[in-house]
Amino acid sequence: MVFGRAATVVWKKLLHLLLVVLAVTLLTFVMTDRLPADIAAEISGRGATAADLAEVRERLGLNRPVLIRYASWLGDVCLGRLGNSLATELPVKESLRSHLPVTLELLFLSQLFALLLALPAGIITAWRAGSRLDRLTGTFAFACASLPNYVLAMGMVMLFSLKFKLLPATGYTPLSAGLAANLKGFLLPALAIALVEWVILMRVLRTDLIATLKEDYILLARCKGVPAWRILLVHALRPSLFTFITVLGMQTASLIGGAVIIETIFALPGIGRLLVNAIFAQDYPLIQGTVLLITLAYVLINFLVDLCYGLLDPRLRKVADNG
Amino acid sequence: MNSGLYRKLRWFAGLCMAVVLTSVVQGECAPAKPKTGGTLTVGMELEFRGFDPLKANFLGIADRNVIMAVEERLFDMDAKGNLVPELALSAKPAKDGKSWTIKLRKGVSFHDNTPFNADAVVSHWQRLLDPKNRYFARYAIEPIDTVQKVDEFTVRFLLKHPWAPFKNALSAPQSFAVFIPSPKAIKEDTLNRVPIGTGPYMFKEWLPNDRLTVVRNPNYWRKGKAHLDSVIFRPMPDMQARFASLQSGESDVIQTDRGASIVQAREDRSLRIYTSDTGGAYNFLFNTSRPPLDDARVRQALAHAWNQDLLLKADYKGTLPLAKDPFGGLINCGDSAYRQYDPAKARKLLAEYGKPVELEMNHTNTPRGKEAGEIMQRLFKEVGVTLKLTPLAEAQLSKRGIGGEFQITGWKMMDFEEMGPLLKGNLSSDSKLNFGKYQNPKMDALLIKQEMISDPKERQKALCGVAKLINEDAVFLYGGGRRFHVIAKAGVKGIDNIRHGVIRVSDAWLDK
Repeated sequence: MVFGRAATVVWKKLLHLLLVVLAVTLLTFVMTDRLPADIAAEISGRGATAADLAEVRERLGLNRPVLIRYASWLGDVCLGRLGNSLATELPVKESLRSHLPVTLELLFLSQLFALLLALPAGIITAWRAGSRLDRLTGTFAFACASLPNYVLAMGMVMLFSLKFKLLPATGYTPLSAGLAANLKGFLLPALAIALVEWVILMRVLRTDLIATLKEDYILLARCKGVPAWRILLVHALRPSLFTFITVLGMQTASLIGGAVIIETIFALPGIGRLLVNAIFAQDYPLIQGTVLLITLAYVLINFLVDLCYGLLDPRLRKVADNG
Repeated sequence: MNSGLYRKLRWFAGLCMAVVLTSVVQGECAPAKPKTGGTLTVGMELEFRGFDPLKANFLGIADRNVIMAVEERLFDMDAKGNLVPELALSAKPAKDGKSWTIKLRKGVSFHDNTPFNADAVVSHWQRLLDPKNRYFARYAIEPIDTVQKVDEFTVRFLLKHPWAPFKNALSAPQSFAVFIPSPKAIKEDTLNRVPIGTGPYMFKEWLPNDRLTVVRNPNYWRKGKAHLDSVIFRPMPDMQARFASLQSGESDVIQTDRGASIVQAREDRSLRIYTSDTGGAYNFLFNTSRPPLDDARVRQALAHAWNQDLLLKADYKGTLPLAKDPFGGLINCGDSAYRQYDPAKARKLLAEYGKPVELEMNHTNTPRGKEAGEIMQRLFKEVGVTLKLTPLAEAQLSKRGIGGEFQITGWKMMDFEEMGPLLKGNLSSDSKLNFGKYQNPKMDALLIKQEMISDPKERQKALCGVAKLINEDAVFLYGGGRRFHVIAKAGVKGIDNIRHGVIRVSDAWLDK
């Protein structure tokens, strides 16, 4: 019975997310259609006659109303067909498949570094709020946050690549060429992202933890002589993670297509660069396919974040079960 | 010491000195023997467009480097303008100059084992000449009427009229037409993504936005070439990142036109800079079909308000030559009536025009585009002209330029050694490639004349006439001559010849 209710909640969430995907892809389709560019002219080349242009438009189905084209594209997507890129002629699926692992690895490593910095710093500064350590950490954090990630990236390249020659300045080495070489190429870009991201995570965790540590049940635990580490990690941390998880989810999702500057500086062939190049080339099948992927990832991550709330606080599961 | 012993000692010391000097001189000057093996990584500015002439339309700088490694031409051309045989053995013009018979090399195969022969040459050229295929640069080969097979290893190019630039049309590495691809790849429609030729390196893989890899052709017909195991071409759009990749060792060679990097590289002893000047120019096109730029006085005023020298010093740190004509020093046309920076003259011409001048300029959203735009904006303001800047992505800039949707736009004249066909395409009143919509019967007559005459002196006179008229009428502004820069690690050898920005990897080797 309880399982059935939970399933209903999950279905409702999934339906809601599906609507988000439909809305975003429709909006992208309409916006791409409104771009001040004639894709038929682009494909036909210079000197094309009106008849040539009409032939290309007919072949690509560009003379149909935008909603009909959207429905047709959606139908193809449901059958697993994303079409071919107009610029490279490669199947869109293949382009996404070759660029996605780079973005996923960058995303995983940057968020891992951000967590490794934010979690201990958030906990310590909340426990020692107002102390010198708290102030020092806060100063360092704000210094990181106030620097744009491309400035950090260039600074790290100067230091670690050019001065000490420890890490490569650019380039992607596939995992197949060895884990060490692969990780070496990702260290600087992941750090450049993490050094900005960890600050927000640390600040929200610190704020929520300070509030939780003022709760009556924490006072009771202290009175009972529960060790400080246990109070922090077992009693206070879990209920303080809601905003943290939400922000982490949002940051992770936004990095799927949003790390374009870092990808450009470090010459990484990720999804962000793929999308920007597709927009510049007015390559609408590739734009659509990439936006679809980013939207799906976005809603999926947010869906997982929603599920995490239930795991963090059993009371929420009960509320959901009760409708 | 007696004088005999002294003489002997002196003779011995002299001999020792001569031996030492000889060995030093040999060590310094004698060309080192190329070493085989290794991978050369080349950092390029842009992603590759593709390798099918009908789909990729034109060869960008990045594409030229790849196609030069994989495909070959019938002829190369030396610095004196002589044809140097590659896939062909000889080219003989007919007495009337209206056809050329070309003997082809035997025993050469494409990488897919298709034999190289007359059919391969004819099918490639006919494909580009067929108006139905709308080859983008057909204007550059328009005087070629047809290409015929004479026998298995002989072809004949029939021209519409005697045509002086024919030898360039066969050899210019910036033209798609000169590279002979595998007929099988054309037939199977795979050429755009998988270039197949007869060259020293064979295509291995192309990972978009990441790399294009070629490997040594073990069956290459020219022995003693292709020393490297493989070459990786990597697009790195960010110049600072590209330069950093060279300094930190991920790249061995990079291409650049950024003055700051070139100046920095000059101070780095571990790096070598190679340069090559050619025809063409960076320029700013005027749309002469719309007011106020349809009035020659306004264009002339802007030409006097513009300070090309300032741009070259500020933006390119003096690494580009000043352009007064489109010939890059290959033809000496003197001053070509070049309009010098003279704000007073500009104000006078604008006063004659009598109306306020407000303009918009499209430029690329790159640092060089923005810097050039801002300099122009400031200079025009000094003479009372308002200039609005519109930064655009490269593709959008090209699109608006081609479509005539601009008042002023940043542009590039292609880097040909033989500029005649391009000038005809860009400046003839009835040409589809006349993006500035410039109309002048006098210019049309000069352009036809330079195409029709064979006498080199007369032809040069006609071309110089074109250059002079460009400046007199202020058809466009010059933004510097074309000069290619390649920066390489000291251990990269055999890349001294970078004509048209092409790193000839067939000769490159690594001294590591």
